[in-house]
Amino acid sequence: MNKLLVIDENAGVSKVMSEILALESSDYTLYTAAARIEAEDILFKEKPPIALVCGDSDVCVAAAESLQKKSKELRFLLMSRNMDGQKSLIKKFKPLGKIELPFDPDEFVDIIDEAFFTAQDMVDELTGLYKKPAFDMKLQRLMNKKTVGTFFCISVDSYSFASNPATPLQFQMSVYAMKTKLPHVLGGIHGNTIYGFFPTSEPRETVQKKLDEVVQLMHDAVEGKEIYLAAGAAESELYDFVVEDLYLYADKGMEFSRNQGKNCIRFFK
Amino acid sequence: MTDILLISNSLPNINVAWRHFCYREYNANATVSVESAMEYLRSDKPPQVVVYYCGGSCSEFFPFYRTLRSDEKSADCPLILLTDVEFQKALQEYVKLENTQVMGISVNDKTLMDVIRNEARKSASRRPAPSRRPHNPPSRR
Repeated sequence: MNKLLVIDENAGVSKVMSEILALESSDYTLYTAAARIEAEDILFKEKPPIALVCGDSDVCVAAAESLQKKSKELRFLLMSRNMDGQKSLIKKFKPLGKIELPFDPDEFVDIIDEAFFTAQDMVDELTGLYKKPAFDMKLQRLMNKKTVGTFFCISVDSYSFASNPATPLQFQMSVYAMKTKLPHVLGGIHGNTIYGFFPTSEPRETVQKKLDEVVQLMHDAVEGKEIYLAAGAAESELYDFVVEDLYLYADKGMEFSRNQGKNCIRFFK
Repeated sequence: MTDILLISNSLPNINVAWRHFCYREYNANATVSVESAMEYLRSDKPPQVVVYYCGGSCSEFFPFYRTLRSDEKSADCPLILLTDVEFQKALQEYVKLENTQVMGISVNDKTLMDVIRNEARKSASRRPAPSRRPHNPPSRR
């Protein structure tokens, strides 16, 4: 359970935020404090990893400063009606995210998610992709909303005279190439395999062509080295938006792809 | 007469909220089900304004709001939320809600009526005007 401390004088705020977060998942528990003593009490008892501070209130900022002195591990999120005027607070708290008031509910959820992913080391430093637990959580939410699109997995292996796993730089370059071609893709990583989901209602032939281009671009990004990319894909609607089935059948597609030669992507079915 | 749809999460709440709409100015329907509400909104004669009444718990407002705004037929429908003071203040100051007015549950009927009429007028002015058939010229004998 992710614990979030909200430091704000408005008593109804954490209720509203809880309702908004509950739309996506039941993973969050919110605690509210309006002043220093309450905030310190909650920090001591509940040990939340992140505090969301209202930057427009001096009382709340003072409470946050006190918490910062007491706990080096505590990370912050900042919310304010005028973020441009909060440069000193941004410098002081180095927030994981900034929430401009009034906020859009969907953007609010994304910012909170990203903050927890960063605080819990769920983002791969090398590529900026989500590690598998975080990727699975985001993917499950998209499937809960019956999002139509294509799930794919790409295995990055490189072969020269002797088998070598892909070097970090090769990995980084190929992921950068993928993000360039598919900027709105939800991306994850586990070992040498990159996972992705991109919402699309385009026909399969168009999606296949796009993914083939991604694989080619990833190959070309790794200049001069021999690198083989096997990839598989599965459409979410075809498998009833079940995450386990998407993994299973995209993996099967990846197996077929490997057997058919280098740098190609295959859909299963 | 303004067509309105009243929604809440329970029948007792509907009974409480209904007192606001016992006037000839309204043609009101009510439901506790989001699915029924969406059917009304997708019908040929949808309501001009939707009123959501939060009595006690507002836990079902956001799922309803998301459903309302994600359907193209109801994405622009004016929504009026009647809720308690705490929730009202938090929503008004912290959350960006599309085409939504947040008011207290103890709002007086005249104020509510003015707001509903205003929203219905704005919504009607956004809709494209119906095409007019040209008059047939009178035949000469």
